[in-house]
Order: sequence, then structure tokens, then C-alpha cells
Amino acid sequence: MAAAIGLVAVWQLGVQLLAIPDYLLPGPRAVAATVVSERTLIFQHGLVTLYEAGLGFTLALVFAVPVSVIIVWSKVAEKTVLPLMVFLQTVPKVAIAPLFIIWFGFGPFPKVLISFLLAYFPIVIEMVTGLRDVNPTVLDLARSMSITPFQTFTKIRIPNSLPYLFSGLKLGALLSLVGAIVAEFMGSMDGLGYLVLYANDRMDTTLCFAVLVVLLLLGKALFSVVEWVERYAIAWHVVVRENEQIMFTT
Amino acid sequence: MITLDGVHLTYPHKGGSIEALTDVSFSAREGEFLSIVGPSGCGKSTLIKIIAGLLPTSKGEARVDGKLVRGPHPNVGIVFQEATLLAWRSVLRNIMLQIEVRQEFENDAYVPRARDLIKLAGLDGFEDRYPWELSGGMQQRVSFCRALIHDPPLLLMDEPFGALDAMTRDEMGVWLQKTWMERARTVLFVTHDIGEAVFLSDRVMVMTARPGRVKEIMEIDLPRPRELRITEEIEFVKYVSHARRLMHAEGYY
Ligand SMILES: Nc1ncnc2c1ncn2[C@@H]1O[C@H](COP(=O)(O)OP(=O)(O)OP(=O)(O)O)[C@@H](O)[C@H]1O
Ligand SMILES: [Mg+2]
Repeated sequence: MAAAIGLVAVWQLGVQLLAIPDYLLPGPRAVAATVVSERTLIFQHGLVTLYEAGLGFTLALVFAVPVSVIIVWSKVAEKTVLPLMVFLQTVPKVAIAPLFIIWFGFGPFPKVLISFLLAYFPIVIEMVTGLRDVNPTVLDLARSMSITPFQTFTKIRIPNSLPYLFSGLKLGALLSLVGAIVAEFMGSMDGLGYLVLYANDRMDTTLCFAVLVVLLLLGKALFSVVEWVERYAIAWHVVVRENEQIMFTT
Repeated sequence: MITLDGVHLTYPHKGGSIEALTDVSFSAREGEFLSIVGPSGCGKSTLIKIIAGLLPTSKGEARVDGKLVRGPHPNVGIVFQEATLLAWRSVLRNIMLQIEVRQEFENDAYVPRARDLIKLAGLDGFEDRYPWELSGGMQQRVSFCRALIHDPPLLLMDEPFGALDAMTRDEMGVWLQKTWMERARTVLFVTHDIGEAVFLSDRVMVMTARPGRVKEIMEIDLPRPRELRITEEIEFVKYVSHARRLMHAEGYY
């Protein structure tokens, strides 16, 4: 926090002292003023981006969780689905975004799709790790209780995977936003990505920065929502993690 | 109760397999407290897993209650060196896992019993606490409760006190003896600590270094209940030094 305030101060001072014109690098005060004066415009477009990213992220979550369970459940899926995903992941999403625009038009669908494609992968990877990463002695113990394979998942593997799932979700939330913006760059009539391009075209650097600041805040907000849900969903883990951070403050 | 007959166990391993047990034969009587001591890596944990039905033998057979062990069987409770509690479950719910998972039990009927066990283990008031709120010794006591909740006639313990400090170990030893005397069940108790083995056991089985075989089974003829004082008495010390000599002969220490 202090670092952020310091950065903003240095930025404002530097811009003023070096007398940099706004179209090159606007100062934080000018950017803040634009955020306020253009709030309706930014809000309208922000809503579009939030909708696309939110939908992409939700789809990623709904898709990733069962797929991860299937991958860990079935040897066959592990040998087919997972390698396929890893392979597809090597295709740069940014490069196929224009294709999606051609195929699916200028509406929200291709944006949601790109957003989904970017977000699901870290969620699957994290969750698969969490489902697998169970202490072998715990599994021995469970087997000694004649546990069924189904119960191994409901009572041990899935709860065990939740901390991993949430770290995947944090990454996924940010990537879903990136996906929506990138897709908007490729062809769009609205959204914050469109607004950045629009501002650029008109050499309105201040508006460009204003949108970037809003994007930053949006990313932070999405991240915080996931963190907030995590706090309630897996309190047993969050508390332990925070206890580990108790130390002398000097 | 438990009979092993010519049990061999070989772990497959790239570049040659590892022979963990060769020709292990012994039996444990009904209601007996039998300790297993031996050098590190001699196959004690392997033996426990075979008897629990977690690991098939390479050769020979293990029987529990006359029945051939072919997989996990219902009448057993296990305690490992680590407490292996589930972090997302409270003390009570960790203990109840054993009941939830085994279809043959009525869930609710066992909650009062779990509470009794918690009390016996000196964990009164900790029912709803989570594992990270407990000390190592307390966690291990919870895992004892979990192993006892379904009242199994057979208890398998693999260095259950291994991770505890000397004082807690002594206390837990006394507690375990008391629990066992109240309800005699067959116990196989693996330990590194010869004194602990002699203190607790009816018989102590000494194993050879890898690949493990049974070197000798010592009868411990000391009256019960045994108090910690007994460790200073001459008979006790004789048993301990005899067992130690057997281990020395194996190049241990
Ligand atoms: N899963 C495994 N795969 C391959 N080899 C194994 C495996 N588990 C144990 N071994 C080998 O089998 C031998 C016996 O192992 P085991 O864990 O039974 O010994 P132990 O007597 O319990 O030792 P310690 O006293 O150190 O716990 C060891 O030499 C070990 O290297
Ligand atoms: Mg061992």
C-alpha cells in the first residue's frame, strides 16, 4: 500500500517537474479527474467487460472442477484429456482470437470464449495437483477402513484439493479479465478493451490511462472476491496460512 | 489371532528389487500385546501393512482370525507415526471418519462413544477444535481415538510415539497400557525404543536387519499394571539389555 502511494507520488512529481505533456504521460491527478468526468462511459464499457470476464470465469470454474476430478479418477482420462489440454495450451490464445471474431462475430460470445480458454487451464492444473497431493499414509489409513473409491474423493481428495483450487481460481480470475480485454482488442464495439483502442485512436492518453486504472481496480476486485469466498469456504486452511505469518514486527 | 507363515515381501524397483522380508513366521495370541523391534529398514512397517491387508505378500500367507488376509479387513484399527488427521475436520469428526466410511455402523450411535474416548484421552473440551490447534501429542491421541472408535479386536501401531518427546512418550505409554488393560485386544506395536517395548509388551519380537527375519521372540514376565518405576528394576534392565545385544549382533547402533 505504502509502495503504491509512493509510486503515485513519484509519478505526479516527475510529470510536473519534467513538464511532460498529457498526451505522452498524464499525471495521476489528470487521470483521476478523467475517471471521474468520464465515469458513465467507463462504467458502461466496464460492465460489458465484467460480464464477459465473469461469464468466462464462471464457465471455466464449472468446467474445470469436474474435469479435474475425472482426470484424477480415471487413468484413461489422465493419459488422454490432460496431455491434450497441455498441448492445446501451447497454442497462443492471442493468435486465435481474430479467428474467433471471424467465426463468431463481434458480439460477446468470442470474448467469453477467449476469457474461458485463458482461465480454465490454471484451475485444472491446480486442482489436479490438489486431488493427487494427498499424504500416502492418509490413503493407507483410509484403505484400512475399507473406504470406497467414491468416498476417497468426497471425504479426502476433494477437501484436500480446495486450497489448490482457490489458488487456481485467483489466477483464473485475473486471466479471465485479460482474455476479455484481448478479445475486445481484436474486434469489438464496446468493453474496456475497445475503449482503450478508441482513446488511443484519438490520442487521448489520459482517457487511456483512466481505463487502465479502472482495469487494475477491476482485477483487484475480482481477486478479492475469490479471496473472500476462500475465507468462508476453507477457513481451516486460511487460518493456518495466516498463523504461519505471525511474527515479530519491528 | 494373527499368524504369519513363511512371508516374503519383495518391493519391485528399477535396477533390482528390494527384499524387505524373508521367511517371516510368527503368531500373536488373542489379546496379546506384542512389540516388534529391529533395525531401521528391516521391514517393520511393511509387516504392519501386510497384516492390515494393505500390501499383498510376495510369498507365504498372513492370517487374521484364521482367515487369509486378501485386502483391508474390517476389524482393525491403525495408528501411524504421524497423526494423519484431516486438516478440515474437527477432532470429533476426525474420529468419526472411521465410522462414516465403514457402512456397517450406525453413525449417530457412535458419537457418545467418541466423546467418551476423547475424555479418556484427556482431550476434554477439544471436540470441536481443529488439528492445527493441538500439540503433536494431542494429535496423536486423537488418532488413537480414531483407531479405537469401532472397538476393533486388533490394533496395529507403527511407531505411534515416534514423533513425541520423551516425557509425552512415557505418559502415552502408561495411558496405552491402561487402555489396553481395560479391554484386552490384540496389539502389534512397532517401535525403535526397546525400553518402551519391554515396558508395554507381553512379548517382544526382535527382527534382523534387512531383509527382515524374526531373530527372537522374548517373553516379558513382569507383573501388570507396570509403573514407570519398573524401568529401574533389575529384571526390566535385563530384558532391555538382552534385546539390545540381539540388535547389536545385527550391527545396529
Ligand atoms: N514402497 C516401497 N517401495 C520400494 N521399497 C520400499 C518401499 N517401502 C519400503 N521399502 C524398502 O523396504 C525396506 C523395509 O521398509 P520398512 O518401511 O518396512 O522398514 P521399517 O522397518 O519400518 O523401517 P523404519 O524403522 O525406518 O521405519 C526398506 O529397506 C525400504 O527401502
Ligand atoms: Mg517404519
